[in-house]
Amino acid sequence: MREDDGATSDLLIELRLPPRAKSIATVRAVAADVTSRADFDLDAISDMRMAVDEACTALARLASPTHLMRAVFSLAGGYLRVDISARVQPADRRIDTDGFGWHVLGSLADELSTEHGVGAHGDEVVIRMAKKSAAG
Amino acid sequence: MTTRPPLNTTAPEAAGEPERGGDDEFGDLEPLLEEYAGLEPGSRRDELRERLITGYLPVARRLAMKYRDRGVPVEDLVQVASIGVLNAVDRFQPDHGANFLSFAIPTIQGEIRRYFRDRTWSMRVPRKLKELHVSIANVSSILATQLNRAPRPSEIAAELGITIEEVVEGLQAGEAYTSTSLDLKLSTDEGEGSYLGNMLGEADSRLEMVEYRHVLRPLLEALPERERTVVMLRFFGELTQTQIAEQVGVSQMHVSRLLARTLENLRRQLEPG
Repeated sequence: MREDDGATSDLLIELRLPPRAKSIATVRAVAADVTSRADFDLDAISDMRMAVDEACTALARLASPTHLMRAVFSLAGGYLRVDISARVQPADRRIDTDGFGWHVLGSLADELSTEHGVGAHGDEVVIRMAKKSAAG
Repeated sequence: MTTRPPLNTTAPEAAGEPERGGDDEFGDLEPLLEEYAGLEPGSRRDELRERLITGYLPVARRLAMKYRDRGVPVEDLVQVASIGVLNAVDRFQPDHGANFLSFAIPTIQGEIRRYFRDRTWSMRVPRKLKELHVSIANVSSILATQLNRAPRPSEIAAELGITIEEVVEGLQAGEAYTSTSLDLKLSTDEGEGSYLGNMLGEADSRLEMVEYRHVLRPLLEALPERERTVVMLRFFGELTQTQIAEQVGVSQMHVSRLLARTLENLRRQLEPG
C-alpha cells in the first residue's frame, strides 16, 4: 500500500528506545494513547497496544544491544501506521514470518510487512503495521 | 400450574425481594434439581444442568446488581455470580432437605466476595480515576450493543458528558487493574466445546508449520479454558474483542486484559532458548 513518504505532517510521534522490556512497556502505552486520541474504537486501541508489544518484543530479540530501536507513529488517510525498526546482529537476521507471533500480528494489524537488510548500514530490520479506523 | 420462569439473564429486576423473587418463580425447577442429583453422567444430565443453570441465572443477576456501585463492570459481576450458580447446581444435595436457594445464595455471594478479594488495583491509581474507568467500562458495553461494534473515545465522552481527554485517562487507568477470579473455568455455553474444536481444526489448516504442531498447539491446549477460548476466537476465529466479550459474557476490557496477558505468557513459552 502507501509507502512512508516521510512527511512530518502525518507524523504523530517518534520514539527511540533500548531493546529492553521496560522501554517496550512505555512504547505500548504510547501506542494505546495515540490510538485513543486518534479516536479509534476500543477494539482497535487494544489491538494496537498488543501489536506494538509483539512487534517490539520480536525485534528486541534480534536487536544489537548497543543500538537504540525506533518506533514511528503516523496518521494519514484513516490509517494509524507504526514502523518499528532495529539494528540487528548479525546483519542478516530477520523476523520469522512463519511463527505464531507473526500470525498474531497479522490478526491485530490491517496491514503488515517486514524488511531486512535496510538502513544506512544495511543491518536494520523493520516491521511496518497499519490499523484502519473502523468505518463508522 | 405456575408459569415458566424467564430462561435468560435479562429477567426484570425484582423490586421488592432482591434475590428470591416471587415464591413460585423457581418452583418448577425444584423437581429438576432432584432428578439432576440422581442422574448418572449423560445427555439427560447435561440437558438438565443447562436448564437449571439458565433457570437460576436471574438469582445471580439480582445478587450481582447489589454490588453494582462497587467499582466493577456489571457484566463482569454477573459473570462471577453465574460461576456461583454453576457451583451451587453441581454441589447441591437435595436429600439433605435443604432449600436450593438457601444453599445457592451464600454460594453465589461467596463467589462475588472472592472476586472482590482477588481483584486489585495497583496502589497509585486515585479513586476518582478508578470510578472513571468503571463508568467507561459500563457505558462501553451499552454502546457496543447499540452500535454493534466497539465505541470510540468520542462516543464514550459524549455519552458520559466528559471530555475525550478524561476518557483517555480513564482507559489508561484500566491498565493498572487486574482480577483473577473472572478467569476461572466457566462453560455454560454448550456449543462452545465443539465450536472450539472446529477452531483448533481451522488453526491446523491455517498454520501448517512445525512450530505450531509441536510447540504451540500443546501450549494452547494447556491453557485454562477461558484463556484458550479468547485466544482462539481472536486469532483463529478472527472475531473482534467486542464480539468475543459478547460471546463469553464478560466486558471487552476484560477480554483485552486476558488476551494481552495470555499472549505474553505464550510468547515467553515459545521463546527460543
